[in-house]
Amino acid sequence: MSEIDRIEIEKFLNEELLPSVERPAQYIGGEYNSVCKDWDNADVRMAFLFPDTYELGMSHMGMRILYEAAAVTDGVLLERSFAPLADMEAKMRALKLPLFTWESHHAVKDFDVIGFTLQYEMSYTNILNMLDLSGLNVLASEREEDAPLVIAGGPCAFNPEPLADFIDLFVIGDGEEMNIELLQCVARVKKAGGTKSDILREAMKIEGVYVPSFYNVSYNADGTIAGIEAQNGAPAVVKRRIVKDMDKAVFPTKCILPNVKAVHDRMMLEIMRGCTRGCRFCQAGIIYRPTRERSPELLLQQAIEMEKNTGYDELGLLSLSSADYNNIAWLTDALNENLNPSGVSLSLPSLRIDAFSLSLAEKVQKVRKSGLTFAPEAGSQKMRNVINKGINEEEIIRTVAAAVARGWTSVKLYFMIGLPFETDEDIIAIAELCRKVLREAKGAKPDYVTKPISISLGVSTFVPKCNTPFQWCGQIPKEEIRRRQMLLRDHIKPIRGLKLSCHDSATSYLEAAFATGDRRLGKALYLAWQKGCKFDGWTEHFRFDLWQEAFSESGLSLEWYANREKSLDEILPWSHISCGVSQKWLKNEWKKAGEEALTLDCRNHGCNGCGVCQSLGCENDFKTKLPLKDEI
Amino acid sequence: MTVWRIKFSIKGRLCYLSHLDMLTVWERALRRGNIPVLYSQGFNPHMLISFGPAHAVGVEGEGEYMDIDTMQGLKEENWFAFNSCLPEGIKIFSARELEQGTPSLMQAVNIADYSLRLSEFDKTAAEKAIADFFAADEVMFERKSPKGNKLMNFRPAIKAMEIRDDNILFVRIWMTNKGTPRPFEVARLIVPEARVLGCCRDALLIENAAGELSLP
Ligand code: SF4
Ligand code: SF4
Repeated sequence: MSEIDRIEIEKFLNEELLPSVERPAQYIGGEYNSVCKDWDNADVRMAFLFPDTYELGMSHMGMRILYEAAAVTDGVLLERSFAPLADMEAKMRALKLPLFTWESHHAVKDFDVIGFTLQYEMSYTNILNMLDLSGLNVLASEREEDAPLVIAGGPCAFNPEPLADFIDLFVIGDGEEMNIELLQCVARVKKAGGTKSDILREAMKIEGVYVPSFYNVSYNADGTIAGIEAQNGAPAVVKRRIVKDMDKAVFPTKCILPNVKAVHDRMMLEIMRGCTRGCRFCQAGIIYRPTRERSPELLLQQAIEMEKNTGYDELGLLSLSSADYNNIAWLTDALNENLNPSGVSLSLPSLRIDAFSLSLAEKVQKVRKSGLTFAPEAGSQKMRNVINKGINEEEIIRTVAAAVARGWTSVKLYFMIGLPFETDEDIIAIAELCRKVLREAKGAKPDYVTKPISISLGVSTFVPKCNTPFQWCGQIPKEEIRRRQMLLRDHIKPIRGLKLSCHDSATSYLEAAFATGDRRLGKALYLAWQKGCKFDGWTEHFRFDLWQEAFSESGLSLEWYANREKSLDEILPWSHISCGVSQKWLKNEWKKAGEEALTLDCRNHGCNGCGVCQSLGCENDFKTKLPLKDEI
Repeated sequence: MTVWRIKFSIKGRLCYLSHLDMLTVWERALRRGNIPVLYSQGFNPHMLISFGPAHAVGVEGEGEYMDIDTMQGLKEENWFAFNSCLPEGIKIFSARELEQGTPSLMQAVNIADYSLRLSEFDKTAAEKAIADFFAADEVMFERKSPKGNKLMNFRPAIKAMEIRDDNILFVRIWMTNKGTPRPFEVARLIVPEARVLGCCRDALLIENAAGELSLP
């Protein structure tokens, strides 16, 4: 692609693209509160690429945080870019117009650093496509020394191996401090005349930075890993970066207002990071440990500022388990009292299934009882014990019935199938549980409610993830998933008032391969992208047939990657990346799962030895409970 | 309660916002600016704002209007100060309190002036096309849409048309409920070889029965 400057890009945008593409407003940039620093005066410039649509990207909390961290740091310029939709991409390619940023419309290729966030495996082909659309070689080894440094971070970076061929450097763990340190390191090395290899050698000294090309992976004849060897003085194990004190971490109160409605278009207040409930399938519950709360007074102040800066009328309280936040009742009261009286509505995702959570939901959805979502995850008590979800049937039924009694009419319940140790009885138990829930709910419906009760089930397929007690499991074969979905469908069908939606099994199959696979998968990913795969997370774009071709041409077996059970003593592809959790503890949890034994939450029951706090030198950080108004 | 009629402009890329997204922009700005806007009653209260006739996506506006219901006590200066809360590209020029019984913008406004900036074209041919247009009693145009094409007579709805400054097509369109020509369509009819590089709605007007024009 020939050199093109921002003036030309803007001319193309104004005259050719915006008048002719669908929903042009998503590409115009210059949103309210967006920050456009002086290009020439910056020490280092980073393009933050969200490998999905604008509407999704603008809903992403992590981007807001990194954006703010850069905005408040002198010399650091950070701009955003998103994956263009198919019509826009086709026109850009026809005009030979490279991917550009939303702020200043510079070509992404002209930045020092290009960073991707890895939120879900199914966005990987978009990463390759966006690199290509930027005019860069997708393979790290083929990019020139003066090409931008390509980095990636986010939850999927805990097993970065499938992307090792394409990404120069990964940032593992909390990004707000690390990203700035890395950018300043890039500025320093470049100023001293260093090249990309110099940057990599310097950057690997930053805690949390992983340079995949510095590790040599060898394999056994059976395909498993024989060894992972660090070179160039790189650390044998890269430890995740952690922010210990959330009160000191940057927080965006001047968030960008998207020009088209984003999926989550509201203020977001991160009330705490981490969850220690220890559900055994859950990766977030391990990789964000321990729990670090923000002070309630600080949160209140941040919310007030955010409202002033944005004019939003909705505020989401974000965390993995909001009802666990020590001062959640105080905070919701204080927010209701202090935010705009003409109505800021609060939303509390990720609620537990209990009376306390329900009373919270009631506090925040006073007028509009829009809907409640709970995640029992499994139908039988046995399975709930296997996954360490410490709730029982009675609680689930009682909570839903109580919700209906208080006026809610639509409740969504999330379940997972394909979990280890699951039998047909456990599947049928999901239907049975829902039948009981529905019966009690109907009985609890007050007279003044005229709408019929609707209970919907969202059923996803279990995907084994690294750094969980289930990381050694294979996913059950695709056909078996379908059979279990059918079995569930057959038992749900006769129950009137229940709606069932199942997640596509082919997508979860690929997800399993990429979530727990090694760097050889890069070949299949590359071929799939070349065949035209992109936006794989969107059902209408997902082409499983092309993925199958890609796997067979690369000589890799998708079944081997997705369905094989790993042995407890083999070297796992991510064993040189540590989130702090001890492998011994994970193995013990895996054993306890088989025994249907529970492990209690360290929030209330003392440390159970997962190893994270010792390894990273941190601890659970809870804030003292403030008295509620009506208690004083 | 007071109803304010606000005159404002939309310039630059913000003109690509859909009607709904534009409404969101105003609602958030009004909240940021602490303008005491009144809300509708009911389960889903919304701000009492009404725009004039919607503009097509991609059309800038020099003289747009909207009516906003507020609590008593605001002054015109408050609206000028409020400009600092609006995103770049939107600017308020004037604000006045409406007398009771003033017809709504949608009822009153029936004329819109547009300027279309065009790529190179043959000026003489275009001027001839304009003369031919006004000489005819009927000029049919086929509007294409995914739902099927529709044949429309553009002649009665176009009040004036001329070439200005060599590259601007000016057109005054009468808005009727029998189908209003779109500025881009008029350009295609008169100068089919030219590309539209930009389009601006210069003014919204009210024409009374006697044919006299006034501002809303
Ligand atoms: S409650 Fe369970 S599923 Fe939810 S974040 Fe915590 S560990 Fe994960
Ligand atoms: S080390 Fe102990 S206290 Fe820390 S997160 Fe793990 S179980 Fe909880």
